[in-house]
Amino acid sequence: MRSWWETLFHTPKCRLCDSPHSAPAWAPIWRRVCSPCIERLAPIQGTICPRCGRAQLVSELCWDCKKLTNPPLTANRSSLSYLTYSRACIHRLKYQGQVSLAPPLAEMMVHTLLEARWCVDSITFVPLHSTRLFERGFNQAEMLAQEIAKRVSLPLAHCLERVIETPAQSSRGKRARQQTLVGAIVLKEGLERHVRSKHWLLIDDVYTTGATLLECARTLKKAGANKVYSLTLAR
Amino acid sequence: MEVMVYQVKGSSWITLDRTIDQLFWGMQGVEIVGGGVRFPSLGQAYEWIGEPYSRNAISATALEMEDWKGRAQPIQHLEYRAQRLQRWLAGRSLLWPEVRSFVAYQQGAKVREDKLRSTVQWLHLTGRAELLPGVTQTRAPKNRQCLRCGGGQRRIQQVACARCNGPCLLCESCVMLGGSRSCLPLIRIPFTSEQKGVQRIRLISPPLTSAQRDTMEACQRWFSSTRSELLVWAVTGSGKTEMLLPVLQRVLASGGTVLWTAPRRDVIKELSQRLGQAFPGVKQVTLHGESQEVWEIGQLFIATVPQLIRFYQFFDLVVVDEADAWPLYGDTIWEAAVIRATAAGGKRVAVTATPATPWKKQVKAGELTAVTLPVRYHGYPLPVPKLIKKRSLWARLQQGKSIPSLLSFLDQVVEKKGQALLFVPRVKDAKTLLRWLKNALPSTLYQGCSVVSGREEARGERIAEFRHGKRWLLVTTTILERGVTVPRCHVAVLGADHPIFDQASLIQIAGRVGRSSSYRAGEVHFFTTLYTDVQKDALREIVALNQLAKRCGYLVKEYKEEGEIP
Repeated sequence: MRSWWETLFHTPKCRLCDSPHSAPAWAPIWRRVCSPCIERLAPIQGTICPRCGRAQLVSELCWDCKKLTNPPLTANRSSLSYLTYSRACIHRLKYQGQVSLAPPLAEMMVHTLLEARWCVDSITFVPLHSTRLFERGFNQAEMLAQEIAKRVSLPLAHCLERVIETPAQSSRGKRARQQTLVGAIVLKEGLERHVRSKHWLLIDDVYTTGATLLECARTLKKAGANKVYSLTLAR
Repeated sequence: MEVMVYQVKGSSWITLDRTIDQLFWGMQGVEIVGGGVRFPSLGQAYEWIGEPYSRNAISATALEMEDWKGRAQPIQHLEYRAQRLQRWLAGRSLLWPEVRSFVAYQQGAKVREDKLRSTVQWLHLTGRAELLPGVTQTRAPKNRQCLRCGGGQRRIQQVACARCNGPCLLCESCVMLGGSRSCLPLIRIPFTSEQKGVQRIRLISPPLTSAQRDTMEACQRWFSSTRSELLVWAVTGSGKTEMLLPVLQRVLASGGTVLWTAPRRDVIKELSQRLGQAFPGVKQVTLHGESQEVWEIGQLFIATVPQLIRFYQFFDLVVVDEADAWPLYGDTIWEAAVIRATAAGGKRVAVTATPATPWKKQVKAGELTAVTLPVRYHGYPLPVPKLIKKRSLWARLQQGKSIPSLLSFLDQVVEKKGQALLFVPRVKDAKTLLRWLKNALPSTLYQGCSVVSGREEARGERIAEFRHGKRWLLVTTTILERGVTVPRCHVAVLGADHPIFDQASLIQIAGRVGRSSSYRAGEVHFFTTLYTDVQKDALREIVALNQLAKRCGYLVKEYKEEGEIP
């Protein structure tokens, strides 16, 4: 219940869970989120795999990355561990359409991006198929990318397109994910010149096996991109 | 979603499918002139017309199947589809994607978008369905409103939308049930009462105590009267579900639909089992966030409160369990959802152990009918809390100093082989208390302690462990004040002067004790740094209820004769 007091005087709240939490508006995002939320979000800190950004005990390539030879994706970083609460947050944003979650989550990603110290020229995002986009009304990766581009002052390019409607990745195994994606993502027409010899940053919400991101990176590389990095909210 | 606006008879009409409108007006001998204007979103179309709500071409009363029988083949087909859709969607208020999933679920096949559009448009033209935008789109933000949940402009956001490629309004108040947007049509079909039929309903109910029977009879009297609202004030653990079953049976037998709603999901799950056993022959639908039965049609609905925004004048009897609990009480959106879900001429029962003060005032003034059940099903009086004043309680807890009164309470719990629930006002206080317990208790006892708070993910498991007796002590916040029933329970509230423990909360907490007739040793202690009015009022109410029970002669023999109320 919103009491008259709260109506008259603004009560500062946690950006994720609406519980009272006071922090100045200019504070970094991790101070504007309440401590129980941070605890449950489990941000990825400490030593990670230098390529895929997985949290691990030693700072060397993880088991999955060792198997990959010459991957199109230079490196990936993720902000949060994909656990119960962060999954619920992404679910609220993605399927229930609670768009007010996008700015705080994007700020967490910006934080991770700045820590990674990459040199990036332009930002793009993992595309949705037009049918899925129409159903959902928005692309969550695009929303995150918009917020990030605004905050780091980099150009945002809509350069990828999904031409084959693949079934939802979340319910499939690793091999099936890779197979269905072959040829599903293409470059938009007339943008080859734009993509060539640049360092790209790909944005997505979740990195699980990296199949989608690798496919996007492959498309960009084929069009002549110099390096492709990726940044996801959770992994 | 693309819609079209055209002019007929000097006013503007909105359509999802123009060919249907041509068919309809052609029957009336009117011709649509001009091409009409296309809009990518329903909200924009209504904004352009300048009217917030829809208009039907003819009234619903003028409609009979016979009227359409002699007509051309396409109209007959359309009417057949429309009547089927009306039967399914009667009493619902659904957004377009929800209508699609509903129809797909019911017919067991994929829905063809164009067919659904034409059917809905036909229903709308013939006055059987309302076609509204999910959120009204207006230039002035203060006039914006979500038509699904009734949420005001404070939580309506303007967002980019891939459906309508334009500025689109999204309501965040009801976003957990799929966002309501200004470009999504909201379809509301009122319930038609002709579909009811009388039937025999078998009720399997445990025998009622004399107190329950008296209250049940009072409920029946209210049901026969013209009053539409009832407050059932039944103390915790009094068996109020069983008491209301005969009223439910009456409504179900007359072919009506019944809704039992409560704010919490675990209550709904438990109730669903109990009501299923009580009414074995009735089609029952359980609705909550994880439920798989969202699109089922039934007669007895058990739903959490947010699910009610999908219903529109549907239920003949609505029972609101724990009506004073968060998030229902005081939230206009959910209160309105309960009222909207009640059919015209339907009745509402609010069930609570701790009625809010405004309700008590209404009862006193005679504006609200109330029925009181002051005794538990086993006939023992409610345990009366003991107030224990302890100065600088939190400082002592933090410093790990001994608190003899709390220690003796814990000793007594162990001695009587009970289990203890310790309530603290805030989550961080739980940690303080646990640290104190670690110092104060021997390690064998400390191993049986754990913490439960709303932020914990494993809280379901911990509560289950406590229920099964694997843990003897649970430190918790107010989340466990309702719904937990452990037979050998003792309760202590630490910091009972904290504003989070209001009168209702304290009475509910005290109501955790003495639920079983076999274990009578349970005690309630309120540890406080100062006495407050709230504590005194809570105590007074518990004592008053016990005295009322004694006056009515509901208490078990030993208390009746001794004449002493604990």
